[in-house]
Amino acid sequence: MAFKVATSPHVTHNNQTSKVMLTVLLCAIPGFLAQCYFFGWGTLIQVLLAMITAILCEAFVVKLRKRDIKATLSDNSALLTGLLLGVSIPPLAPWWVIIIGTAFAIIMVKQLYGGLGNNIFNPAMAAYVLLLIAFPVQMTSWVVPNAIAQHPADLLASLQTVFSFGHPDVDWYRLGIDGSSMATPLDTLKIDLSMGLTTSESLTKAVFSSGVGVGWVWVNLGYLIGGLIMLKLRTIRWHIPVGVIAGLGIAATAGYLISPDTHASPIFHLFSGATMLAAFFIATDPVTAATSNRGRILFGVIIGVLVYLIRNFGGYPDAFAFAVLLANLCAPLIDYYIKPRAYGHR
Amino acid sequence: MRDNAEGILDGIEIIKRLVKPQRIVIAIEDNKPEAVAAMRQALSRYSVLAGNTRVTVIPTKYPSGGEKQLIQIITGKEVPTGAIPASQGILVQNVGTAFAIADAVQASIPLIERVVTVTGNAVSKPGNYWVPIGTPVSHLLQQCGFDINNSNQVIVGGPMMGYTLPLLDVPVLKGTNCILAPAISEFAEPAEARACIRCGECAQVCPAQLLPQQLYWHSKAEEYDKAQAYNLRDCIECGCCSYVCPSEIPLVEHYRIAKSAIRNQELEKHQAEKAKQHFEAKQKRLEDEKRHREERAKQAAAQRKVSMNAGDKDAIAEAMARIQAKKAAAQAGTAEPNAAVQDTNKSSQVAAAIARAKAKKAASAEPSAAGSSKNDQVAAAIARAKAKKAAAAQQHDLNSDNSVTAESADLDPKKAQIAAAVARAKAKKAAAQASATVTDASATKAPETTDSSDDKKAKIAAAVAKAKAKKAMQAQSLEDPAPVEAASPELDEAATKQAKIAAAVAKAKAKKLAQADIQVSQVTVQTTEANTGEDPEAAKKAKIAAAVAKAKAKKAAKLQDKE
Repeated sequence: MAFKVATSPHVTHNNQTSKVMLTVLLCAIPGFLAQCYFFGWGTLIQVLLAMITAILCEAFVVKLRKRDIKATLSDNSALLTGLLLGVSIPPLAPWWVIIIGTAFAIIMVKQLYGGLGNNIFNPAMAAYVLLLIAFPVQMTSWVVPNAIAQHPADLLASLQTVFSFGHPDVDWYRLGIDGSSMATPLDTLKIDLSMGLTTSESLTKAVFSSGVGVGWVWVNLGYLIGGLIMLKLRTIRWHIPVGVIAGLGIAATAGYLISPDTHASPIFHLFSGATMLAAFFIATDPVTAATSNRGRILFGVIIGVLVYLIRNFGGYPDAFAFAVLLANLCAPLIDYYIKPRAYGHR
Repeated sequence: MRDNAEGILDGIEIIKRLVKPQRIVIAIEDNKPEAVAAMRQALSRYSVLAGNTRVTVIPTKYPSGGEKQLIQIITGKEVPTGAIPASQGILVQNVGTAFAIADAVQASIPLIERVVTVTGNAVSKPGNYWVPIGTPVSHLLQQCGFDINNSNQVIVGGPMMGYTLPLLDVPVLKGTNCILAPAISEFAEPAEARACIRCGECAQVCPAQLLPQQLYWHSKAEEYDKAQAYNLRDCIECGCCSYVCPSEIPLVEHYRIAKSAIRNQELEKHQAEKAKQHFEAKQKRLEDEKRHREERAKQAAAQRKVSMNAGDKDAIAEAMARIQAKKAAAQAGTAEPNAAVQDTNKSSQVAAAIARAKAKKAASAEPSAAGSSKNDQVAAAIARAKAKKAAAAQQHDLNSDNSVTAESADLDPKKAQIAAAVARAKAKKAAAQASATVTDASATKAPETTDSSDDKKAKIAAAVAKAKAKKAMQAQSLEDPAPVEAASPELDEAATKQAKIAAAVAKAKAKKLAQADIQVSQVTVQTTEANTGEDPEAAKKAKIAAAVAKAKAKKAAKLQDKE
């Protein structure tokens, strides 16, 4: 009888891309739940919308490219992109914002570059930047955290808000949702500092609680836990998250030591906005990151420092999308210059 | 090791005697404690090795069996790329090799059998067996209870680096350390490779600390130079990267393809280089041969020339003289030549030659000759033309009693030769210029023609004669300028004008000659000889000579016209 001829190795590790992606999705659950808890159903609606859009867009492009739709979709990468974009945009943003963003992420940023593994930029972050520039009002109208809101939006109200065509504030007012949309803690601090308030004065506002934004600290902690689980599972390596946190933390500490009145504390920076989400879930996207260990540390540090600079000196309150995209640009250069010394080479 | 620890130590001792190492390390992975114990026990009883030999337990971490990896684990040193461990003063040998050395040296048993591990779920009696080298794999598996229905592949070597056998009728070789017969369900079917997500797991596990994903990109894109820049050749094909790859990309396969492609490229390059060298060598050889040939030809030509100048010249001259004599004899039957001959006697010897020619012509055309007696030059012109014809027509007629013959015989051979040449040329020219008149040899036309053009013809004749004299001198006897000198005075008598023209023409001719190849001139000379000679194959040459002569004549005519 004829035997099967195969190339070595004849055994493989039970470790698949789809499983990697699924693990990442599952590890995002703690942070996601915290986000849902503090910011309502909107987050869930956005994530589901994003995921559905992502899968449809991916299937569409893959069909156009005459590839195996099932095999491509089964790698779960589209779902992850949807999740990351869904949790990034304001929970009660209109439905078309997230759909446009997700379609852009999947079609333009990912598939047009050749699909998974070939894209230069992180799809979710590129889409986020697109939305932020194209729809600044919708993208900066964050909801009031449920903990301090008098009339948090229930599921129905959230759905109505998301799927309406009007201005968010009008809808919210019509639906009796708390007052108006509200700036994020980062935004609030930035505005206050620009208005001449000191950091400590600004932090007395309702949106802050014990030095950090209400709810945001829990969201960040949730993502931190998920990230640590991923580290433990070896789904990701420590280099990028440590680089990001170290870069941001050191830069923030330096700024805070120089001028505490005009710079937020490192803790504030580390637990505000998208810090942990970005450090563990976004920046660690291997496709768009550097490849070597030292390169990845540098990649993370670049993101962290850029985030701090943009948060403090840039025009946008949170900066991870920009920082990640800029670092994506640097990745090939980093890979070119930072190569590990191969065995037997001096 | 558990069964033959003593034998292995014997082998180690022999190796020790051969290479005299400072230290001997027997490395055993920590999942084989019995082997460690057995070796340690045997070593403790083996006093010769006791001093600098130790058993080291190393972690079980693939691919620590690799020579370079083992060195790194034990010594912390790395073998430089492209070098062998011996460059670091390290020698790595298998325990099996040590045992075989002991067998060969102590018991004189050559390497005819080895231990083969037979394992996998498709065999019912897995184990380590002493197997004679050459045993068919099928037989070995059969002895181990191989269930062929529960197997779809048989691997020689381990699961990471072994190769599959397409069929089992192959022998066990001295490198066959393991035969792996997995059950069908044992190894997962390799899945379709998906896109690389650059996760970098491969780089984490690579024992050579390469960047497998970069190697993969470049290997796949056939950018082999870039793959080499990422140290592709340091890849030991251990399979770790393929093992961990979440996209199940057969990375090692890509590297093997790239490596063999690079090897082929290098081979082709090498062969092209060799072919180029061969070609260049051949070119050089051909050029050398050509040069040698040319040199030989030149030498031969020079020799020929020398011999012509020296020995042959006389012979040629004699032959020419003979021919001349014949011609003269053919023409001698007629009355008039005496006058011409007398004229020439008065003038120099060259003039005499010209006169001879004239005489011939005169002989063949009596009436015109009668007319020309008033003017030697007119007669000469006609005579020259006639001479040729007469020579051609009446060569066979060998009547000879003439004073001309005697005189020509009296002439110096060289001069005779020159004279002959001059005569021929003149004859030809005359033939070309006034062929109708001359060829007829009719009594009526000839005088008229000569009358009308006698001066011109005479001048031409003189010029050509000088030229010919010079040419002949240059071509054949540079060492003997006498004829030319002799020619000049002769011309003084004829006309000072003519002398000038002649000088000019002669110079032109001389120049032309100088430019022309020696061989050509020789050929010309030879053909000129042949023209008058009896040689049958000279017919062609004669024609050529005629053509050459005509050309010269034309040129002379042009010069003449200018004047």
